[in-house]
Amino acid sequence: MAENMNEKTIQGVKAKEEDITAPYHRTMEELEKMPVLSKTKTICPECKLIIDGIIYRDGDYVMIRKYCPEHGWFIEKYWEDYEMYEKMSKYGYVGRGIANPNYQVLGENCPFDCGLCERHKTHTALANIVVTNRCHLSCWYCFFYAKEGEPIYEPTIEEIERMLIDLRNEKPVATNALQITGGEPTLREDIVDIVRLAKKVGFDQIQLNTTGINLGYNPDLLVKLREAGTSTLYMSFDGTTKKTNPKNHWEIPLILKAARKAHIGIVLVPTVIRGVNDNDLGNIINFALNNIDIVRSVNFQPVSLVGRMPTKLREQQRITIPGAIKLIEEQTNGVIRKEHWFSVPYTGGIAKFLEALTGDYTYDLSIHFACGAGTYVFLDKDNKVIPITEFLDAAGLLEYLQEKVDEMEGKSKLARKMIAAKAVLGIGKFIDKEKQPKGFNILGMLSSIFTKHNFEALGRFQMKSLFLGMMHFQDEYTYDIARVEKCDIHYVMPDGEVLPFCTFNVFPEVYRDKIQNQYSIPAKEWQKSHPEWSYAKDKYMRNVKELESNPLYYETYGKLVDFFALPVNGGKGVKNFTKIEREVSKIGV
Amino acid sequence: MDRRSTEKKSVEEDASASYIYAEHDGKKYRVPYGIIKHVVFRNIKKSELVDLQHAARLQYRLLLMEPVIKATVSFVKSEISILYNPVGADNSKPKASLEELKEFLKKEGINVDEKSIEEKDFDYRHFYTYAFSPKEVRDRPPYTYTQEEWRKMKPEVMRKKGESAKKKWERFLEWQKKYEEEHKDKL
Repeated sequence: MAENMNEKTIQGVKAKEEDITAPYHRTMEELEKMPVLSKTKTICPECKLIIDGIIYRDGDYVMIRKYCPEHGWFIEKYWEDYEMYEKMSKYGYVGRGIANPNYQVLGENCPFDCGLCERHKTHTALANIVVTNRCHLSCWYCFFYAKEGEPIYEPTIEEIERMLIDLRNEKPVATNALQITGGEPTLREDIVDIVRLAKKVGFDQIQLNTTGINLGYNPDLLVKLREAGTSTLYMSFDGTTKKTNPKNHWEIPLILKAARKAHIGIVLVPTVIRGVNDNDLGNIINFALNNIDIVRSVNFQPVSLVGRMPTKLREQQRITIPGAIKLIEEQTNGVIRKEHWFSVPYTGGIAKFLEALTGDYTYDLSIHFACGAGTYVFLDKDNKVIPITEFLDAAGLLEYLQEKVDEMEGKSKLARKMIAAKAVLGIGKFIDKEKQPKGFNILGMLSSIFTKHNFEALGRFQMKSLFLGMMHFQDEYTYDIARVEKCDIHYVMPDGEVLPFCTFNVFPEVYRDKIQNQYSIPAKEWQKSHPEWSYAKDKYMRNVKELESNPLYYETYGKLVDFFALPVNGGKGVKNFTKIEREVSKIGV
Repeated sequence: MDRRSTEKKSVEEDASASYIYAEHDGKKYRVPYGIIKHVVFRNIKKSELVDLQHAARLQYRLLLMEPVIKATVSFVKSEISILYNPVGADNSKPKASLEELKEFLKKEGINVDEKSIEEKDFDYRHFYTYAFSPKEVRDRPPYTYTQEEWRKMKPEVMRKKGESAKKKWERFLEWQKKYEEEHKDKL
């Protein structure tokens, strides 16, 4: 927090230009000269007063500053690249929201009116359901899991069914993608039944948010989960080394093996923290490419700094979507560059086209552009890493589709079909066949999406590619109410409410923890009804020596190919590439 | 008022709490509250609410109190509406009295008009049940269609949607059967 904006510098030391913390330490005179990009509403991180936020340009950075009459100034990085901000903001649009919100109020006190209300501008695209607050790990930074003696939150299967039906009843677009989360959901003995239930209720996509550890040790469970309808594992993966991924580094080999046997895809989910694992992003992508048969996607999550932390540490650890994208560019030696990425609402153009053609509501990813970004990379027959925009003119395609959408307005069903048919024939001009991956028929896949009127063809698309995503959840410092009202990742609650991610997790004291506590069971009561259970029994004890001496460990980490070192990809190698060497003497083999 | 319960018996100690249920479609769902209180403080001075932003913060502060289940502070209507768990309620959750709420508001600079307080019993199960079946407040047509066009085509679109859902389910069952055959030793 800046204490006195009238002084030359805040901490008595003038920041160097290349210092990433320099934008936090400008004088008032300097700030007032910086171009204002937009104004928004935000909150004071100290007292939660709703205050004005100014989003402005500071050189290459986009920053947000806000003033609380009681707590002074707060400055935070909003986006670490002005050029990307300009590009991505072009694709923003206002979605149609929810037709049956829980609260028929206009959100006068947003974000404290949540549940959802009429003001919310985007339907639930991905719903999270917390099925337990028990966890087998005790990560120091996590607030989700129940500590010893604390009440247990674990809805019954009937309660879960009701919540799932609640989501499927959302209008005009019924929630179609579900993420089962916790705590650690695989601690529930009825987790397979929960998945089966979710499938029966009508969810197409069911993700299991897990450390994967239980599944690595119990591969049969993973087969059962797959059979019941689990589409993917959404698995924490903070890095490729012990240091960057202390959570499940040693169990990853077992998990990958189990996933291959079960034929279930994995989404690797690294939480990115500057100064902690930001040097490992290229390696994470390389690791995913090495396992492209089973890894569908890497979904990077720049850290949300929720809760109190020293200002200096916050400044040093803060990283935003463009910051992570630029590091990836650097670490992959320019093979995956910032221009290859698009913001999530870009896909709105495709959704609108399908909707205009069919007259049926389509998934409408109209989130705020600053919330997420993505790209696809392909690995062709020669192991060349090819980002999609190397051969697809994505911006041009979107403009083209928008023209077709405009043409369809007011036309008959037949006329719309003819316009769509012409559009499909015209897609070819946006694909550079010389540069497209060998052995792939991108035109065929895109045409399939447009002629079948759904995204099922995307499943085949994904089998030969790796989706790279970025999702940056907010905290009190970066909070932008304009982003919250467009959020499409929601939590369904046991009291029937549906909450956006960034109200559920940023204000847990009035949402997540409050409501879960209302529906929790005291630990003693839980113990009575579960006499076999104990807190200690839930906890996982790792045997590092045993895991490291497993041949799978060396298979996974010792035989990695550095795709970026191949001549076809430039030959320079991914930065900080590491693979373990087998130390025969230490493992006694 | 301390934002935590005024009850001496903590939730942790009350291991023998009886459950309250809401019923729906022949099924029972456990809920934390039965009969609670709904209080509305009207004619709050706008100068005490200060502005929209301070009203929102007051709402947040009210929600921090465990006995407060829902709170709405409306600057526009000059009123505060609170669902809370009253002292004497038959449940094991933290409780508060009306006096404690008034005292809290006073500390926040709000002097309630005693004559304008309306308080009544409220069955939490109504709140719970409604949350699971909220009504539709609008019916916007798909992109590029007018309301009139949508009104005419909606029945057919919904019918096709139902058919498509059925086909999708059949395809899943087919896939599941194949998967079971391939993994029968593990299932």
